[in-house]
This record gives sequence, C-alpha cells and structure tokens, in this order.
Amino acid sequence: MGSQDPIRETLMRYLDGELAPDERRQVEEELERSTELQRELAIYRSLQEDFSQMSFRAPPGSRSPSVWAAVNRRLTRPMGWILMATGIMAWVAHVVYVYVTSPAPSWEKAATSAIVIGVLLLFATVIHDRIRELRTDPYRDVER
Amino acid sequence: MQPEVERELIRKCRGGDARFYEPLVRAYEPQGLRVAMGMMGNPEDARDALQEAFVKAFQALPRFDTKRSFGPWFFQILRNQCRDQLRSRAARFRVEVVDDGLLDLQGDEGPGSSRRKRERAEARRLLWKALERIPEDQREVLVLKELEDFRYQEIASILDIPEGTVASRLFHARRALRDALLEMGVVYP
Repeated sequence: MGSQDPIRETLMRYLDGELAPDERRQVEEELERSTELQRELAIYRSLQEDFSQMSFRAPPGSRSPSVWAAVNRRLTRPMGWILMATGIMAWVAHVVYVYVTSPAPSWEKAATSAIVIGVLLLFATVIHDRIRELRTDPYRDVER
Repeated sequence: MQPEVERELIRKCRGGDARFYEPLVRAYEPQGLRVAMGMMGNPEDARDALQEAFVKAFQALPRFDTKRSFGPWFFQILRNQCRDQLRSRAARFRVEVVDDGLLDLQGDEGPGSSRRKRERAEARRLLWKALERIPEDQREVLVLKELEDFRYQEIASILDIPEGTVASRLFHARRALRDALLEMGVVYP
C-alpha cells in the first residue's frame, strides 16, 4: 500500500459524505493544492454518476414478479414431507403388525419377507450407484 | 418498513408461521435483487441467490437478535449466499445485466438522440464489463456503496469488517475499476 493511500481513503470518505465538516474543509484545502487529486476525484464522481443511473428491468421471461411464491413453497415444503413420512410410517407399522399376527404358515412369511427385503435392497443399491455416478460424472455440466 | 412492525413480524415468524414473512420478503426484495445482480452479474443467478437467502434467513430467524435491524443482517446472508454460489461449480460472475438505460439506447437512433446520453449509456455498459474484471471482495463493497448507497457503518456490518477497512477497500475497488475501464479504452475528461 503506497504512502498516498491514507489521503485517498479520506478522499473516499469525502466523496461518500462520511466526513465531519472540519475534515471536509481539510480535504478541500488539499484538493485546491493538488490537480492530480482533483482529477482522481472527478473520475470517481463520474463512476458514481454512471452507477446512480443504473436501473434494472425484471429478467425477460421471468414467471413471477416476486420471489415470494418460490420462497413460500420452499418454507411450507418440509411440513408436506413430515405429514407424508408420518402417514407412511403409520401404514408400514400397521401392515407389519397384521402380517406378523396373521395365521399364515411361517415358510410363507419368510418367503414374502425375503422378496420385500430383496426388492428394497435392489432399490437402495441402484439409487446409491446413481447418486455416486452423478457426483463423479466429469461431463455433468455439459448441456446435451 | 417501521422497525416496530418489522420486529413484530419477525416475532410471529419465529413461531413458524411463514405467512408473516411475506411483507418482509416483499419489502427487501427490490433492494436485495439489485445487490444480488451487482454481485452475480446476471438476473437468473441473482434471483436464485435472493430466493435461497430469504429461505436461509427465515430458518435462522430464531437466532436473530431483534435489537438489530433486519436489513443489514439479511444482506449479510445474501452476500454469503452470492459468494457460495460464485464458488460453486454452477455459477460465475458473468455480465448479463438488464439495464433500462442500455435497453433504451438500442432504440435510440433518431436524430434527436443526445450524443452525451449515448456516451453515458456506453460507459455504463463498459462499467458492468469492468466489474467482471475486479476481485470479488472489491466488487461487493462497490455494489453496496454505489448501487445501494449504504453508509460505511452498514457496509461494515454486512461484510463483517471494521468500518476503517470499508474506506480502504472502496479506494482499492474504485482504483481497480478505473484501471479496468482505462484498459478498456474509456476516456475520462
């Protein structure tokens, strides 16, 4: 950082109206003495003017004028998951109870259990592989 | 929005009722969108960042100190979100800004069009391109000051830096921007 930096940093405060009146006077005296500083201030004022004239339109094709709809959906979604998971758990518990307490022969129960567990394991491994593939795919950013 | 109204809405939101969050979102959305546009450089990423920041702010409301104002706290979350997004593989600062002045310029070919107006519009277009060339921490301080005119104290709070550092960072940011513009052939009077 150069030795000129402190005066330049004060110049920033002057430009942004962050100085007390006596500090402003000191900067103005400094400005009267230095044409280089005057030129620098003029450039920063010109930048400020350009920034102040910027205004934005809504992005073309934006579906909603406000982000509220999307935010609201995100905030209320967990409640939907909680309700659905609670319902599924209640049904699974009920089905397991009915199955265990049914008078069916034990070989039949064992065979049905094997099928259900096997299907669940197959689903779990397929999902696991798919997730790992997505994470490590070097072409995932390529638009097809 | 009145600070008491804001505090009351936050108190109700903390009870988990998202309906009371809507006035806060609508109040801070325009300013938030401009800040996000300045930091991300394009409307799509800006809207994504803003949306995610509002969701994170709602989830963090139980930890929010109600003695503070919601604005600077929210903009801190938004700034962190923009940074995270820029560092993720999906986004990078890319200039694709929809500036009213620039759009107006496209149809402004008539004999009455002012040369000065056209020059300033061209300067603004280059300004956006120059923003792309300066470091992220300098860009964000410029956006907060120049686009939103936050006070140094507010900028310090949003960026979580001492107030004295704001002036220093602004100086380096403006100088970097000026140098980038000069490199791009902009001539200053």
